[in-house]
Amino acid sequence: MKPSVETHNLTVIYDKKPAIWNIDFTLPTGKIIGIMGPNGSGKSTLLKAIMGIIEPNIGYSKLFDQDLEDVRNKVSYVPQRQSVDWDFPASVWDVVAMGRYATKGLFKRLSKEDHRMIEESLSKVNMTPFTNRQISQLSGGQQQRVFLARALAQNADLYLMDEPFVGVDAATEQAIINLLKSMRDEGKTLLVVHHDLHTAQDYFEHMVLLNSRLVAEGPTSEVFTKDILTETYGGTLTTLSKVASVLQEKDFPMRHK
Amino acid sequence: MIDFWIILTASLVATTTAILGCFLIMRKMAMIGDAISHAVLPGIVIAYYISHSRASFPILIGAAASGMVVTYLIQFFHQKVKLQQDASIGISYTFLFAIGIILISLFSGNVDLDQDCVLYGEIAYVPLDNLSIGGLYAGPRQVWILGTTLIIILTSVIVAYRKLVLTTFDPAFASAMGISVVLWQYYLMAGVSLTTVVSFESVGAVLVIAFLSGPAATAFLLTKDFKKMLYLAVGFGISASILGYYTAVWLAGSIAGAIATIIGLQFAIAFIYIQFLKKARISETLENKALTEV
Amino acid sequence: MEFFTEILSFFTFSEPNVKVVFWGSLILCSISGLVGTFTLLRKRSLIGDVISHAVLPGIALAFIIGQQKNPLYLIIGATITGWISTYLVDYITKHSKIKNDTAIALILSVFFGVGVLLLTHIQHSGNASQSGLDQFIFGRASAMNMSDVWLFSIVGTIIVILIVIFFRGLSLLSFDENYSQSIGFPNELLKLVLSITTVTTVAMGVQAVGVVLMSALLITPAACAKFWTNKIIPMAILAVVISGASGVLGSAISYTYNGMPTGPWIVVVVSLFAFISAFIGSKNGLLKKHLQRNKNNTKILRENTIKLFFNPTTLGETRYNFEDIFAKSKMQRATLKKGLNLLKSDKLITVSNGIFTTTNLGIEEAKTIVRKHRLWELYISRFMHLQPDHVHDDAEGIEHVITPEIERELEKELDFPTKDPHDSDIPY
Repeated sequence: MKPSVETHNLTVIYDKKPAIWNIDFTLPTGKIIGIMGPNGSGKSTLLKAIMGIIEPNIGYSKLFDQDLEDVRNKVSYVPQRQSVDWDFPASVWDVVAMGRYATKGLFKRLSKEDHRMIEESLSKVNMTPFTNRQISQLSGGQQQRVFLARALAQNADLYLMDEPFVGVDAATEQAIINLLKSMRDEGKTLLVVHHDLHTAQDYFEHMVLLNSRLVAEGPTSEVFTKDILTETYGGTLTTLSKVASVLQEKDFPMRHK
Repeated sequence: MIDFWIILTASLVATTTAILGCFLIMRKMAMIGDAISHAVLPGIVIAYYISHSRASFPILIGAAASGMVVTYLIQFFHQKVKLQQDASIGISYTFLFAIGIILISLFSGNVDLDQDCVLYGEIAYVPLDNLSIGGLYAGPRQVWILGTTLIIILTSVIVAYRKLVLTTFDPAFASAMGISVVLWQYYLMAGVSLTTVVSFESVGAVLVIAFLSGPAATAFLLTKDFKKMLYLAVGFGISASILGYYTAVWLAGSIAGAIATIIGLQFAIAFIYIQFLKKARISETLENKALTEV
Repeated sequence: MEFFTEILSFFTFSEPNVKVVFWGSLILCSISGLVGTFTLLRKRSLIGDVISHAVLPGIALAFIIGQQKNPLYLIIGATITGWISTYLVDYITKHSKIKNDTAIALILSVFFGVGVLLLTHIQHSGNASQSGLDQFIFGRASAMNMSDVWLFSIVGTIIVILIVIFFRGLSLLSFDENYSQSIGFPNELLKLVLSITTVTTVAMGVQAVGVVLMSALLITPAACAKFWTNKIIPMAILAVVISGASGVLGSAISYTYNGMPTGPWIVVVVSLFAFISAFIGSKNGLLKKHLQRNKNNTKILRENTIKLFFNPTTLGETRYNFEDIFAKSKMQRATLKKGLNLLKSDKLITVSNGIFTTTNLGIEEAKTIVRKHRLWELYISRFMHLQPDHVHDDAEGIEHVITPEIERELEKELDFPTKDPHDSDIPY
């Protein structure tokens, strides 16, 4: 069985971005996987490095045993909600339609099939009544659902989500997690950056615990232990941060492998 | 007839800039237009001096060269020596603009530019500079140049529409989809540079900015659909050109200045209208609440 | 030769007018440097741009109303429209979905357009005393007179006094507006002080440099100062000195070459100061970075070369000829030669008859670098849960960065280990 995501020695050390050091793991398919850690532990950085948005200093990652370039149509990225200007003059439908652009290139018109997929995605997130609503008029939870619908419209096998539950009301959160579970049941893999320890055990069957470096990775039952959580949330490795600051201050070259 | 040519020239500038402006303001890049329009000055002056003519091609080359210098300078200050971005842009384009003004002084007499014209153009002269093709009167040269530019820009935007919209709205998602955000950024910048340079002669450096930011901003206030915003912006730009021209005639003042003033008025009216709407909506909501609570 | 006599005559005030120009530029530019420091720190460099363009309609209106070219009226007019423009930018940004940069571009160009419309209207109405109004657009310090200079001095002194009085508040505001609010500082008052001083400075300054280039006078001196210091008081002082000097030099050049506008020359001079500072400045200066990189590379080469001389069994002296040590290393010939020369001059090895022998110093150095490498390997394998075969490459890069302080910390955290992940000894 091909792993969904594999990273090898993934290291990102730039100024002003949370650093990640030597991240090395192999993740299974068909599960909802949580990425957790304290603020500044590099969770978003990790997702962005896997998606090719940030170039790692050292190391690489593979998706379904291939390079990102070869499997883009199988991967969907849901960025943090605040990375977008919600005042943009677009309707809910317009945003979800963006999910179909990947397969359409510059010119091809959206087909009947595309339209059907967009409508289906909207209905799966219960946003059909809002189809023509302008996105600035949506609540936080509704905006998140629109993002999710866009991702669904891509019809990918692997979904990478950055903090989908931030600033979302309880009812929406419940609806989203139910949707994620049904996607998992269809065989999709979901990699979710999350911030709330209280819900982690309910939501995730597999976890990656991060604190600038990999603290632990494995089935939730194995890694959600007191010792591991203490190591994750109990403070940064000071030596690591000292080395990182010397690197940046003295402008040392890093080798790229 | 002269009226017509002048208004047409202004409308051509207005249309091209309105379209580009919609993308620029959504990308929070309105001031980049300002920087470019100032920074191309030395390149244009040198081109004028070398070619001894007002031919467009050398001007474009000169402007492009100038544009590359300013881009390099901004990168140097921001990336290499880590100066904050607003200051990097400010230092670079004011330096180049200063050099441009000095060059104009230096070459005065050899170069058919004067300082005032640089800042606010002289669109009134446009109908006097006619083009002849094969001996036939073909209308003012500027109209041909601006018309061609409009067609180029329009085509480029239509062709790349989806990519431009996507990279404007959600660069992270676009990047994740394999779209090169940087490429489309440069694409847009090239369009803005081209437009600024060709509009220089008719409306000057500072007023191009009014054209780039004003109609688009007014349209943004009034609509929730990006396509409609584009159409509205063009509409506002053209109407400002017409009204501005007649205002300038009435006040015996600069045409470009008058058009910019009208652009400002359009924005002000739209802004006030929106504020009224907001207040009306709020009191309506409060009324409804009061009714339902009874 | 004539150039020098001209310049000299400027600085010796041989013409009465020169005294005016000298003092006028000096005062105007110095004040801009001071006020611009706060503008830069608050990352509002673009607002300076807005104000300088927005003073134009004020000047034109003041002339239309007052029917004369009285500098006081003109400055008041300029200050009013300048202030309105900053207010509008903030108001629009706050009360609509228009973003800050769009508001800036819009207000800047529209106000300027109104100004241009009014100015051209004035010019065409043939009013004789309006000639020279466009000195406001491009600046002509040589058109100043003594009463102008007195005005600048008085207003300038008031501005300086205000800034000195409120210095602490202004510094905190620039650094952390939210914190300043939370401890009860009068933020609105401070912002008002800043905006009024900035607007007034611009209103006056446009006479020397003109409208378009005024923003340069606000930003560039302060940016230049930033390459030399991180502390706000030295930064402000340096900005004042740089801008004052640029004002004087720029006017001197413009005076020497008749017909040259003052504004652009002042801007060119201050920009050159900024470029030079970017190169040789002690904070983020390019030269410093370059020197640091060279230092790094030398260190890396020295350590990589001495590492080759490490003897794992005896932990003592080793000797090699060139070919043997070359075979052992993965370097290019030329690089190795360079490294060996470094070791020789640092007295880490001695050379005789083509044989390189480690000195005591060299032995210690080799042990140290190997120790750092192995400590790091152990650290990352223990704390990052990496497989032993992954750790070597990482340590190759990081070993050079480990300072003695970090080394001691590593030893402590790993509890003074004796073996590395590959089970080799760690040499102490």
